[in-house]
Amino acid sequence: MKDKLPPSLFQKWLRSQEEEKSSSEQIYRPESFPFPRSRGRIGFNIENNGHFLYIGIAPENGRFPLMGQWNMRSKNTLNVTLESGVQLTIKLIKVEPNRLVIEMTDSSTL
Amino acid sequence: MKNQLSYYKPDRPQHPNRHRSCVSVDDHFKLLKSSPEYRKNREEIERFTKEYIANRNELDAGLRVGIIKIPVVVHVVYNTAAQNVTDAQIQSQIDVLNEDYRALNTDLSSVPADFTPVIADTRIQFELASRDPDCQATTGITRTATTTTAFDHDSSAATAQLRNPVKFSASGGVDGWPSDRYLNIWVCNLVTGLLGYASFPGGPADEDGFAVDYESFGDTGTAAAPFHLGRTGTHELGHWLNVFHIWGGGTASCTDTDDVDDTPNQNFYNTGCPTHPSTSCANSGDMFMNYMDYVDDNCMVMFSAGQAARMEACMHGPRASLMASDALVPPSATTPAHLWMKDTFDDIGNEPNTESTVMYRSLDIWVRHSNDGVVQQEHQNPVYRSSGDRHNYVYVRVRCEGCTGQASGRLKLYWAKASTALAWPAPWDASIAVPALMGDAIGEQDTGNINAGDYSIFEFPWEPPSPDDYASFGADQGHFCLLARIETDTSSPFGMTFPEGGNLSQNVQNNKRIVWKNITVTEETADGGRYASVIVGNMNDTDRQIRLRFNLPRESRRRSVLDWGAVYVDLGEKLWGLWSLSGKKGTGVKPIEGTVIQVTQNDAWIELKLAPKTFNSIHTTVIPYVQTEESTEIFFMNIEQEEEQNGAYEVIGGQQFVLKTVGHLKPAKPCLIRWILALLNVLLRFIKKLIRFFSK
Repeated sequence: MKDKLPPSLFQKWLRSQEEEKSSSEQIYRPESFPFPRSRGRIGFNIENNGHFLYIGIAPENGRFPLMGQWNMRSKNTLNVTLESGVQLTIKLIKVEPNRLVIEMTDSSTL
Repeated sequence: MKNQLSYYKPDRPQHPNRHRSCVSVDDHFKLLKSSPEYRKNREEIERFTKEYIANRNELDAGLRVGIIKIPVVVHVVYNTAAQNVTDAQIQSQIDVLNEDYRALNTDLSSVPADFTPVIADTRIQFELASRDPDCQATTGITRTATTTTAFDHDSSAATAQLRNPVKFSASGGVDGWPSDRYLNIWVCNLVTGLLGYASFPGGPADEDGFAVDYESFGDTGTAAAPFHLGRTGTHELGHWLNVFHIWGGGTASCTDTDDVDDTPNQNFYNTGCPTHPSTSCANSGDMFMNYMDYVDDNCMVMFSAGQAARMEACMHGPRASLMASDALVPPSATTPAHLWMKDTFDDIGNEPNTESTVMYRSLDIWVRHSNDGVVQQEHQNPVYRSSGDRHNYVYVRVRCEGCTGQASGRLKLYWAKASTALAWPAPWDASIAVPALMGDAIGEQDTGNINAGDYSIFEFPWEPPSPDDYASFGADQGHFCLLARIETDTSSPFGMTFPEGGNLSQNVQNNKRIVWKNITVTEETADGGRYASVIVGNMNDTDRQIRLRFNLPRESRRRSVLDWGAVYVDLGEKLWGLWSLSGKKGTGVKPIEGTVIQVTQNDAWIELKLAPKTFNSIHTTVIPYVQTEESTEIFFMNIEQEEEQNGAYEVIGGQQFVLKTVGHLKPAKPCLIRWILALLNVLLRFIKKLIRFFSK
């Protein structure tokens, strides 16, 4: 199933929260996108070899990188396990070279 | 003698753990591979923080009487002229911090009613330093040109200079000043996407402090919307004081925590400016207007009482040395090292004290019921125990001012029955024993040598007199004043700059080696009011024309006790009679019933004449206007006694009553409602999926 994912998915994405209209869908843009200023911006770098880098918010602000691994759960859904033990589920809604729409949840999120 | 801080091991049993049993933010610190020592420090600080908060009296929660003033140095590191922000912009940031941390910000009114009970005045203030590490005068601002166009921050980097390049000269920034005496703030151009970042207590000293992008600094000059009101500084400073992001950890989660009880569980950070209630994790609404969320500057307006408690633990734990920093005292290079104590939090050691005229509420003396006062520095009313261990413990902080060398002296501590009329040396010398012993020495200790710029805390065990000895005073039987003097010579004037006379208030104001405390924490009455009493007297051998002045200052949220409740004073028959004889002369008071008057405004007073060697109690009661919805606040009532001297009235003494109220958030919604909300959430997602399916 991995082979059927669009190649443009495999890059570094940063969240573009200013564009989001829905509370469940998250919009991401490539790092080169002209983002407005913000206190923080999560993101991730997904590689087609199964490596995953989650870019979280550090407790003192700034980036906090967490390594992880991903695999396919279903046709459009990825399971991610971070080194902290957090499990993420990423559902791909729309994958474009310059825009990514997903739903991201961890097992604890209501 | 107890020197500064050793991490505290509680004597009393701890409260059950009231924190959410979740993954804490400190799990992030555990993931830091660069510094095992930092991880160990963080674990120790969190352990200390939890114990400190658990061991506080309920009424002390987030409500320290004293004000802590932290010396600040701002390092401007600039690559362009615009980045070299002006002194005015720097001062604007300090002003914002002082408003936000004292709950004096005007936009506080936007806090939803759900959260107003826990709005906190942290009682921490900030000021640019007057003295640099080399004991030279300073503006508290340094300016450094750099070739670095933008500074990054990577908390996971292996070296200090990679983690914090702006904090080191070797990496294009500038070295900070000693972090045990200064709060270091760097202002520079940070890389895109970073408005500011901070350090938590427990990290390396040379990386301590916080950095703010020059376009998010202060509320004028280069500050640019929507981060143009100085709140990035407020937020970063929260981290420096050991407060976490309000949503908890670094990922979206409902099982992590910010280790604060009165902030609702929150999934992740908010941005922009949401409308309340904006819910997550089945809460009744995120507290997104909190400084520790990620909303725009004009949307974040409050700290909670629980967050203030963490700051308090931080200031009495890992950052305790800043409370005694001399960086706000202008250097006096020609004066040898000498001992002193502070009359008020803003005392800078002038003789006479020019910063305040109120001399009876020193923060350098405090009483504790047990010997925990090196860390727990909140003053408690002395308590008399008829059996068992009768000891209370009195603590005195002695400072040494100077640029080099050390100083020593003999510290003497005294008690007196609380009164608005205290002279010197009586009653502190045990010379007044009628109607009961009115004062005596508690003890004395050699200070030993204290280094210039350092301080020591001294502990005195003390058995307060039995309240039964003062039955003739009516209700005021258990309140006492304390006086500390440092003598540096065995003969008069004992090393004092101004020889001591009979006017105690004047002695204290004139000499920085004498401090005095007359503070009473009010007792709660059955109907939710507060009660306290004080003795008014004339210790002289002749009649005295006096004024009793009721000073009710505005504190946090610009409110005074008059905004919380009605203030009544029962003068008792004798004083009522004397007031009547004076023609009921006064301002801001009105007779209510019997011998009771109501104080209706700040700075009210009544005038009467007292016979020599007479003492009378007055009883003050505050009845709250609203009994059900208390806020978390602290109010003061200062009752001062002034004596007429040559046609003018001069303060001779006073007593401060402290009134604390503790508010609580409304209980969270019952479990059933939370489950219904969760179910609705799932249904909503399902409906969205259906819509997407059919729209393809």
